[in-house]
Amino acid sequence: MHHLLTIILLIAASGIAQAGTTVYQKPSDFIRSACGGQIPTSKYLTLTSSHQGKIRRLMGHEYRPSRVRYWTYRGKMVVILDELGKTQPITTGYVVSGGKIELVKMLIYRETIGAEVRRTSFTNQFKGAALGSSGKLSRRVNNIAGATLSTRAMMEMGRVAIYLDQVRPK
Amino acid sequence: MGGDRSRRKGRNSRPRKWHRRWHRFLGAVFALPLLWLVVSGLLLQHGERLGLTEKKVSSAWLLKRYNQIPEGIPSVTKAGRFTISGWDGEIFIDDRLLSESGTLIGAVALPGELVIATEEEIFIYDSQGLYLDRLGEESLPAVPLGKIGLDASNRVHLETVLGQHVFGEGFLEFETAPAEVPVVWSILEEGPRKRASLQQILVEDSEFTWSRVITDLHSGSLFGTVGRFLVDLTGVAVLVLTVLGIFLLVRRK
Repeated sequence: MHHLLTIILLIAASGIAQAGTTVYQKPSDFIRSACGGQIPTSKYLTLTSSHQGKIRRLMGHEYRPSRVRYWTYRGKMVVILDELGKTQPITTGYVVSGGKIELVKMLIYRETIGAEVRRTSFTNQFKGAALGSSGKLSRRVNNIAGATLSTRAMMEMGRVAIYLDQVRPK
Repeated sequence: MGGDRSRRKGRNSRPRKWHRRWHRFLGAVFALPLLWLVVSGLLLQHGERLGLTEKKVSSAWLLKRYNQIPEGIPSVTKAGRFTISGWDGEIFIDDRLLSESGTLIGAVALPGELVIATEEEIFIYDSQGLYLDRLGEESLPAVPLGKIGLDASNRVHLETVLGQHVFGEGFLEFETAPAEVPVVWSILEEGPRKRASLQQILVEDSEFTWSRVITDLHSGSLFGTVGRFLVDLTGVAVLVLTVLGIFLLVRRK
């Protein structure tokens, strides 16, 4: 009886689905593609409590870690941000130039559903978006049904990416 | 005339016996699974009122079933005043579980900073354990990382398939390390005695609610394919029992 219970529980454990990680593009390859084929020396911005206060308004919470690395190339800023989708972080690369988003690419997706946000038809909606005075993106980004949390995460990161471009040392 | 009636009665009683026998048999066999469905269904229906959506699972046995507690032996290393443990991708500073994860390869303590290296990433914390920085493959010489160590000038060295590299200030740049510089490498040791305390941390930190367990009990998913099949079978049995019950009731009248 005890053995039977063990076997049943082992089957149960194997039946529980695990989320998989999909790397669509390595962050280093994204930086290379945005910076003329090479990775420039990275820089970092230490987020002060004032920065974190603003970020809290943009994404609903402070950003972790408190140092954000970025790369610059011909006036553009490349930054790779992480934000929780439903339960797992979504790693996304942003290129910001002159306070506007130039390119968005989802690099690593770890959730089981919602990866549709990687499609260029979705990410192209961010192109040219700036940060409005109300803290919203100046361009409307249409939600993808079934990927609401991933869409929200990408919009929040987009707002933070533009803000980081505004406050980084130039 | 009387013979006809008794013949008809005999013909009718045979299927009724068969119906009754199957009704009894199915009822007996599926009584327990049905009870399981009813009780778990009631618990789900009133889960919020009973606090099941908030109450966390604190059973190590059950959390193991959900792969929330790893198998194997943790790896442990010391870095300054901190004890860093890695257990199947989970990382701990002393008795605190970190949100960051990865296969621990070592850790070093700098003045005011703690540097934890996993195979794919490096995480930097301040002396209070606050998460400061993350170095991904885009900021590292190569991944997977092999070893992490410190030289006499407190510079962080990494060993990868591309050789030995040393970081500059702020981990912004790295260069090939000179061969003659002695490095003290962080060494991982097996920590079987640490296992119980780390398991306790994972149990306390668990986000698993009872409503999830009861949902899986109700659908049978907790027992995998076998459980789901049993729940399906119970559903079909209830249908058959209902039909047989109606037949028996109608025939009696």
